[in-house]
Amino acid sequence: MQHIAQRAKLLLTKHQIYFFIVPAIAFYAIFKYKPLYFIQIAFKDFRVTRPLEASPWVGFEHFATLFQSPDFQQALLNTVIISFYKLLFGFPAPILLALMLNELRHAAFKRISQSILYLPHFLSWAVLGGIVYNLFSVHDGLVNHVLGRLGYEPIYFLGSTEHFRSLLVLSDVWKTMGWGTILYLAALSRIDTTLYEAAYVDGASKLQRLWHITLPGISTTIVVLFIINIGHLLDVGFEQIMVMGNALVRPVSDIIDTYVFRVGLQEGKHSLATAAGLFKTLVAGVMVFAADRIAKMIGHRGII
Amino acid sequence: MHAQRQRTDRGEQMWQWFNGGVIALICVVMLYPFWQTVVASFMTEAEYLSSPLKLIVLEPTLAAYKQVFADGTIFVHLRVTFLIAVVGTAVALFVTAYSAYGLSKPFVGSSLVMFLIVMTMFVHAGLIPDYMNYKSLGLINQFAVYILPYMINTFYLIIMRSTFLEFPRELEEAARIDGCNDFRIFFTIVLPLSKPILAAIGLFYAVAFWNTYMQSVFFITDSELKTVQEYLQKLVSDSSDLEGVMATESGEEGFSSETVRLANIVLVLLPIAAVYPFLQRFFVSGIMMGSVKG
Repeated sequence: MQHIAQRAKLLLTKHQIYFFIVPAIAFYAIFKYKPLYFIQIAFKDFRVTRPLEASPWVGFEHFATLFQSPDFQQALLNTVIISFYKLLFGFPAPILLALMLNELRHAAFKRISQSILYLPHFLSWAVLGGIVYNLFSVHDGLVNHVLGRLGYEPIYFLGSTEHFRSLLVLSDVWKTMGWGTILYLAALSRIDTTLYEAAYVDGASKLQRLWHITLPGISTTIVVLFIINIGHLLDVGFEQIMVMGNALVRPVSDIIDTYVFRVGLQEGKHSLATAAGLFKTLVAGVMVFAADRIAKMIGHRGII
Repeated sequence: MHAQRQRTDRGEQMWQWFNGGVIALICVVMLYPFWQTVVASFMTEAEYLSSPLKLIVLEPTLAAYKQVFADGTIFVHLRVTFLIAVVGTAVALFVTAYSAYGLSKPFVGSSLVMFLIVMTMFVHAGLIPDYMNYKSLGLINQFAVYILPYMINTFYLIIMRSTFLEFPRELEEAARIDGCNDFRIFFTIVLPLSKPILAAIGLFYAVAFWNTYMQSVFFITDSELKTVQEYLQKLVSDSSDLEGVMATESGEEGFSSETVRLANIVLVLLPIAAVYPFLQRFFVSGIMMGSVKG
């Protein structure tokens, strides 16, 4: 009898763990998986005036409309261009910076530099964009002030389709470069220091040590972060565009996210916007998968 | 690295100076815009316009701040955002730790559940499905839309779970023999012992909630409920639109709100600057990355 009671008690304590898990499962079901149900909007002729279930299926009609729309084509093109430049400059920057920080011997100097370099990561685009706007303003911005002193005509950076993307990339590097070093620094600190000592004794130069010890030591981190970056290729920063963009640069600054927001929530074309959003998710999935495959082909571990 | 230190030759020393110099330069370039913003917010409009390049204020004034206070709009949004940050951080930290503890224990279907949770980091239904979901839950235009969907950040959940997984089992076993149930173990043993990771993740949550922007743009139409980030974004992009008009209408003399805008920026930046010294402790000690494997 006592034995059974003990077992029952044990079972009860064992099952208690489900009280901890149920809220988490509910959270993911409601906020992450339930929205997937509404993806059908992309394949239906949905109007706000009638329930979703009563809307007729239209197949890929919205996707056809989407890809024929010059607005969407432009947004897609802008997204790819901005993303490409952000990757081109924004991806190597933290690697270089981490390698440089790793070389620092002076602990206090290293700590202070890190604190300064990480700061922009924690600030919102509204703050950073406001500061960028201030620096590059045509009337009284610092940059134009300096240009003026040097005898140049002021340039309206934020309103010029020619300069706007550079400004996006530059400010993005400012925000992300420092914080981006953190995983590389962690990987660098895990490299066995005896490797360096042995290489030094064998007469390896600094560059040789960098090439044969340091880079292989962080290559896994580089590959993993690259795959993750590729997965976010079409996420080029809604908030940044909202802050820094304006009517004049719309032709070069409109991205998929701003398109979805404008068409879906402001113009109420839910189906079209859902189709655009779904396209984005699918591209991200395919890109991650492809990048992971390529990484494995060249002998890395990948993430999947 | 230590062996190298003993053998610093001339070349190495030069490299140290060069490398340190470049890093110092990068730091100055990155920090300068913030310094300039803060300093300029204390300038008179005339002083600012005469030379924005100044590193110090000659005649500091609170004029810009007085105007911000007189207008008062920003405080409505600061209040909302402050509430989001406080309530959001408390709720999210508790729910995340609570869930992470449960998920760190063996249970039927645990690998499937973990897989489904990790998948959500890569799969998003998109803006409109989210909107429809919130609408069906009655969350549109509600304060709760800032908090509920962000109660668990999957990345932090995984970090916390791996911290709990590394916990010495003996402690919990001993408590269990003493008759503690899971709840008591969680509240009296697990939580107090994980203070460092809780503090770190709590601060990261606080920063994220303070920077809430998209929820405000997408799901809130009530202007009283808008976050300060959206308020500031509107302020900045309005003036940039305005500048566009001015630029095309040829060099008219400046609108008077330059330093006022800067003062607004400083007010939004201030809370982050205030918690930043505490944040530093965590990323320098590497507490976050230590728990992330791979």
